[in-house]
Order: sequence, then structure tokens, then C-alpha cells
Amino acid sequence: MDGNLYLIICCIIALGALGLFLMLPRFGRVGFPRFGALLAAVALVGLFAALLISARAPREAEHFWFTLFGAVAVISAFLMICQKQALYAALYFVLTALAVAGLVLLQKGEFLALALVIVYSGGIIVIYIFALMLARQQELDECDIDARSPFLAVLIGFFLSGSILRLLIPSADNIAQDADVLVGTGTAAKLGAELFNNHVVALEVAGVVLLVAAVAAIAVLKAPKVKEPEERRNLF
Amino acid sequence: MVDYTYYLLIGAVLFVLGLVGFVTRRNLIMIFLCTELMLQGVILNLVGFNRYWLLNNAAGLEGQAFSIFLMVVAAAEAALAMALVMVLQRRRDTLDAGAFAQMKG
Repeated sequence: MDGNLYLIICCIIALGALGLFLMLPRFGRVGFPRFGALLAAVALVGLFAALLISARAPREAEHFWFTLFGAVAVISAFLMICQKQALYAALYFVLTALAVAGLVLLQKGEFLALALVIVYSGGIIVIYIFALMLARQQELDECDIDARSPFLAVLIGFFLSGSILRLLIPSADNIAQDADVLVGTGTAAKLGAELFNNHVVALEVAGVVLLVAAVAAIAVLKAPKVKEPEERRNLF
Repeated sequence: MVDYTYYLLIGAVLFVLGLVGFVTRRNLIMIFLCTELMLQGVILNLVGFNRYWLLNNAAGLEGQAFSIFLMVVAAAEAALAMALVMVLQRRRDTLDAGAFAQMKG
């Protein structure tokens, strides 16, 4: 990536940030979610076009799959954070997790991709949906339809992504390497050998952490039900 | 072959989107979903750097191993966070993070 491309991608990210700003739910103010979605879509198409045009390596099937999974991941992440209903946001998160698993698979992380699908789409999201069903009130709350200081947040996001990009640019030097060294590197056998040869203690600690988290979750929920008196709730 | 920086770029975009959602959304469950989105971006980063590492003829799967630990943390966090959200919701009858503003000093 050279300086020109950096400028173009910065403009594209600014466009996407503006679209995100317009898409975030706002209460009592006039929003333009459709216009914002259009801007964000243009930014997305521009981003992938810029990336694919600037790619110096010859086009391969990987470019197609990268574009597909990357676009799905970014679009569903966009829709997730703009969604008023938390349940729909959780479902969009499933889509993001699946697309990220696809991107990991493209980078020869076979076992990791499957583990991502099982843990995220299968495990974590079920916890979220259970919590939503247990905690949910019927209609949309005020906190769902009103974003807190969206302009500042989008501005911070723009500067953060711009600076990350600036750091990525000088490192774009490894292309046209021999891809054959990657074949079969991320299989369960290789990853298992890596984990159990070099990270045994950490792996055991991770198991303990999971156990402690499960016990703690039950302990927290078993705590006696406290409902604060009405006057304390209205203090704030 | 797609340059590894492109994967890092997607990871960065996911991380920033998660950050923006974390700051702006006020629903507790949405806030925790956004942290999971940020963790997805980090996983993409780790795996991308792992591929760079492998392409430079170093035999090591540290990045993917770290991603496994990241998933452990994410799962533990999801279980605990949802339990906490349930308790908080029982106390105040709302999922609004602003209802717990008294915790600030």
C-alpha cells in the first residue's frame, strides 16, 4: 500500500464513519438511516475495490472468498451495532462470527475455524439469547433507541482506524511467497501439538478459569434477590 | 494469495466497529455483544500474524494457540457477564447502563 492508496482508504473510512453516524439509532432527533446505509454501502464497495485493485499478487480464488467473507463480516457488524432490537443484533453477531470463521479458514486455521463456529455461534450466542429471553421487557426501552454521543464515538473510531491503517502500510511487503508451506499447518494435530508442547500450563490454567467462571456465574445468580426500593431507583 | 495485511485490515475494522458500538449503545447486553465483536477482530489479527510468521519459514502456531485462549476468555466472560446482567436487571428492572451511574465516583 502506498501513500495514494492510504489517502483513498482514509476517504473511504470517513465515508463509512459518516454512514455509521447516520445509521446509529437516535431518539427524538431526525435521523437518516437509509441515507447512512447507502453511504456505508458505497464505502464498503470502495474499500474492497481499492484493496483488490491494489493487490499486486495475481487474482486467485482466495481473493473471491476473502471479498465475500470480509464483506459479510463488516456488513453484519455494521448492522449489529445499529440494531435497536438486541435479539436481532445477536443474530447478526452469529453472521459475523461465521464470516470470521471463513476468513480464519482461508488463512489455514482449519481447527480454529471450526472451534470458532462451535464456540461462538453454538455456545456464546445461546447464552446471550437466553439472557435476552430471561431479562427482556416487552417493548423497546429508551436505552435501545438512543445512542450515547454517537458523533464523538464515530470520530474516535475514524481516528483509531486511520492510525491503525497508517501502521499497517509499511509492513505490506510479503507477497508472492510460496504458499505451499502453509498446507496443513492449522490442523487439529498440529495445533494440539503446539498447545500441549509449548503451552501446557496455560492450557490447564484456561481450564481452571472456565471452571471458576461457570461456578461464579451460578453463585452470582444464586445470590438472594434484592429489589431496591422505588425511591432509591428514582434518585438518579 | 491475499496479502496478510488485508486480513489485519478487516480485523481492525471489526475492532473499531465493536468499539464504537461499545461506547454508544446503552443496553447492557448490546455492550457485551460489542466486546465479543472486538474479540473477533483480535482473533483475525492473531491468525493473520500467525500466517505471516509461517510464511517466513518459522514453524510455530503461537497465534492460533493464543486465539484458543482468547476464546476461553470470551466464553468465561459471556457466562459471567450474563449472570451479572441478570442480577442487575432484577435490581432495577432495566437493562439501561445509565441506571447504574451511581457507581461512578
